[in-house]
Amino acid sequence: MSGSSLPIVLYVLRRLVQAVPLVVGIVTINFILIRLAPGDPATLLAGEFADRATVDRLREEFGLNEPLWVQYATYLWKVASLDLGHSYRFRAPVTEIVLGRLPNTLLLLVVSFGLSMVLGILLAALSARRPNSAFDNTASTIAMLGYCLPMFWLGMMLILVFSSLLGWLPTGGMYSLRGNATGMALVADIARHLILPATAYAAYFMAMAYRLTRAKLIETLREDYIRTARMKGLSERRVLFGHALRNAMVPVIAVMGLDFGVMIGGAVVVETVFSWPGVGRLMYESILSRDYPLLLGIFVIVSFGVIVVNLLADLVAALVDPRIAYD
Amino acid sequence: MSGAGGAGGGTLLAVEDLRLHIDTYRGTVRAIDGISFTVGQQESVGIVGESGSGKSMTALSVLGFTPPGARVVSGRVSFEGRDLLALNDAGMRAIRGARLAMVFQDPMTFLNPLMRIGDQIGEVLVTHRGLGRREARARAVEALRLVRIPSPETVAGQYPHQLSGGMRQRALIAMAIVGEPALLIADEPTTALDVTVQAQIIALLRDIKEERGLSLLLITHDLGIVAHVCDRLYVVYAGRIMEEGAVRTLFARSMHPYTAALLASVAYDEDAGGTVSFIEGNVPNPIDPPPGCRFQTRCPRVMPVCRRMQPPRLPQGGDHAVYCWLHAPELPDVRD
Amino acid sequence: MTDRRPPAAAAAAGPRRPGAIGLFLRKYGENRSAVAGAMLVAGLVALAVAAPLLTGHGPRQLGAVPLLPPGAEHPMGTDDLGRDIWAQFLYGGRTSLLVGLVAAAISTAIGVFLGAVSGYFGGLVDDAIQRVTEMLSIVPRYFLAMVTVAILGPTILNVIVVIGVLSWPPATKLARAEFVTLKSRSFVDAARMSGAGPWTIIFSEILPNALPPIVVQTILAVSAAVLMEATLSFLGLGDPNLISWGLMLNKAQTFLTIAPWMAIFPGLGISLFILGLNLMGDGLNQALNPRLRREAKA
Repeated sequence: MSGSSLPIVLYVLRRLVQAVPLVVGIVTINFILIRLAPGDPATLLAGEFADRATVDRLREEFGLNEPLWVQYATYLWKVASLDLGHSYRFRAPVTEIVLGRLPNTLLLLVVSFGLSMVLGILLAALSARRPNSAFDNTASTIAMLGYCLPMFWLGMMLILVFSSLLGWLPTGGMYSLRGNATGMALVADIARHLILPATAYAAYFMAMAYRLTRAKLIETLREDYIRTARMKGLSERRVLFGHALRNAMVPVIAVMGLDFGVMIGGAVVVETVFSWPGVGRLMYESILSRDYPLLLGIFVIVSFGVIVVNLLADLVAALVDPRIAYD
Repeated sequence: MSGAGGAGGGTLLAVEDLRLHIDTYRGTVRAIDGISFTVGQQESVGIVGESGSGKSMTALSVLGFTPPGARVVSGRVSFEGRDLLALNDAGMRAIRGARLAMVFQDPMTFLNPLMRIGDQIGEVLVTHRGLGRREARARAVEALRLVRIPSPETVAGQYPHQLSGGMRQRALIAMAIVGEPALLIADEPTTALDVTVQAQIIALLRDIKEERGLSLLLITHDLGIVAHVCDRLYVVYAGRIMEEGAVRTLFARSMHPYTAALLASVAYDEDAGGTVSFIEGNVPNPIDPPPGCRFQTRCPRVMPVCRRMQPPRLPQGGDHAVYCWLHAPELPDVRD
Repeated sequence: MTDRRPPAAAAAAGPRRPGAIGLFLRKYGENRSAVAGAMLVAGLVALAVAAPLLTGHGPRQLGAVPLLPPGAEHPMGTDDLGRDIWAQFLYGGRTSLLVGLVAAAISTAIGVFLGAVSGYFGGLVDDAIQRVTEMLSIVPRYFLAMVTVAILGPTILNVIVVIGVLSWPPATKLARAEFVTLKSRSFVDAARMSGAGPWTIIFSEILPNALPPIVVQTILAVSAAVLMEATLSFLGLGDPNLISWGLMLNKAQTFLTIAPWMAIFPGLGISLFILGLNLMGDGLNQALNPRLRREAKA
């Protein structure tokens, strides 16, 4: 209450400024990729079956007859104004298509991420309390499996067991009652479809969160201030959750934030396996149809999303640890 | 000032023949090898020794903090009539912070960096007295005032990184006394601080002890601090007691060669940091110590018997006692 | 409070001596899951290498009844075109192995070089390399790999190069940390005083001493590369001319409910390979890092 929030605000602003080169970098990567493609970049953007007029229009639009730096500036400007081109498969602006699918992916992400963070951290706390106990060994083994099983295979095995064999849950998609369901029935329907993909996705997140938190917690429990907490006569639970976990979470949040760029890749395979109509599935569809503007556009939007998540992770870390914003 | 039956009456803490061994890859370290001492009500007792002498470990085992791999091989720790070594975790927790509290060496690392000072102090009362957060915070501010922190309301809302080393140590002292314990253990409370701040903290500890009527067990390598604060002291070397007695007695006529060397080192260099370097020879290997007196490898007056048999406790009148063959009325017969 | 530190810890923190290899192997051998990991990896590598000896069928050889469940003639069954899955499994392992090893070699080479330069020279070079590394770690790597392979074309060479070029940040971070610590050691000063140039010092003085953690990192890089290759193949971005576990899984999707064996075996192959590599990595880390080891013991 007495601590001013000014350092945090300044910190966030500083991080925002630092993110600018990152954004430019991603757009530059995209630009290079277009140039790197074999053949004419205009054809790449128009699709192989486009007519001459379309190709010429795109060549004009992207300034492809101009010198390279003009092309680059044109491209930067287009992305900055959120014009990511047209998908030739959907015959619609890329931004519009991707944003339309985004909520479904966010639903999947938030559910599996939230679930796995809570469970992973809780299990890690119980493990770190008694390293090498039977509980710790079991949990660590399961986490190792969750860390190593490829999501798409885990997803297929889940379908095999819970849909095909047991018949409990749908094999994929997001709705069964499409159209004629409203309110709670719709929510329940979506939830039923969400269970398997969220599990397949969460297994890896949970393993990550578990492994990171466990390692950091064991380290933190050796800190001097933990001894101070025990000296005060606090219960082990209070020492663990009130003192150790908070401190251990700071590096865990930082690492999870940094690894988010890798973790988000799982959305493509999970959504593909479960036909979940999100951005990941869209990515797969555009790979199949070689819809390059859409591919590039998804990459840009997902990258921006990852940068935002990174900033959020930094902000959370700064809120938990007052020293971060302080220096 | 006087003995174990000191100012306020009975014995508060009595440690008898404590032995603590630590299993390591290279063998068993005899970190504490038969230490006995008492602290009376409202008495101030010092345990003095070089680093590695087992003095810190002794203090930690009183609170039930033993390092991984350590075993209490024998001994009794009775505090307010209870045997602490026999208590279960819950029993020990009820005593920690409430009846028995500790101030640690390094104020930089012993405060939780992510918690406001006031909350860290108030937590003691939330735990032991069941106070609400608000009331606990108010009492924490009072505790901060007691340890002479200027503008305690502000400091209570601050984080450790916003405070200087001396301020943090004051906050740690406030944390230790806020539960109104009967015994305060201070483990090298000034070692990590600037010299000028050291003097302030020492004065503060002495004042607090007087004002709050608590007992103080001071663990230090610094005889100068002991002279300022303590009534009695125990000189510890390599896990054993060498000499014990009232501060005035020991300073006036120490009988053990090790005490004499320590005193000489104070006279020689006030800032002798941690080790008494000019005593020749090495500390014996704690894994496989030779039989006899632990100080034999460095003692200028070592005799054959010192290499064979452990010297017994030799009372010298009052609280004074020495563990040294030089003062034995007669020596046992040893042949090489 | 240094007096509470067990002397064994101080001894274990000493410099790495050549004679320590025996001790290290013993420590590794004590870790049961690490040994199991090494055996898994060795077993799968042996299967892949000896593929032609272990099956009479070619991986693309047609002729059997399609979608046969596992049996005597076809131990893992057949696929939708009547090809032997056991043969595909063995040859698919070769692809994973090839991509894993070469891509990890590329990423480790780039990573260690950049990390070494960054850690040894410091200053502006360090800043620049750090910034680029940070950038590449944040970029959604899988998405970038998919876009790149899709644009450049799904050949095995492209897949390997893309995985290798996108995966160096962990190696850079590790190598940088090692070089920062090691460059202030006395043997580096000695080499410098004897007139050795910076590149000599980097490659012949510091690098050998930084090798153990780099080896562990490389093993984990192989595992990451195998997973990425499988993912790309699964999404139809693998080389269509080469059998791979990911490609097998891509095909298996359609027949998941009627021919689950098409999905189970290649997935097991990927999972066990990655699991084995990670168990090895963890085991090596514990054997190399005295602090982790003490934890395991306590």
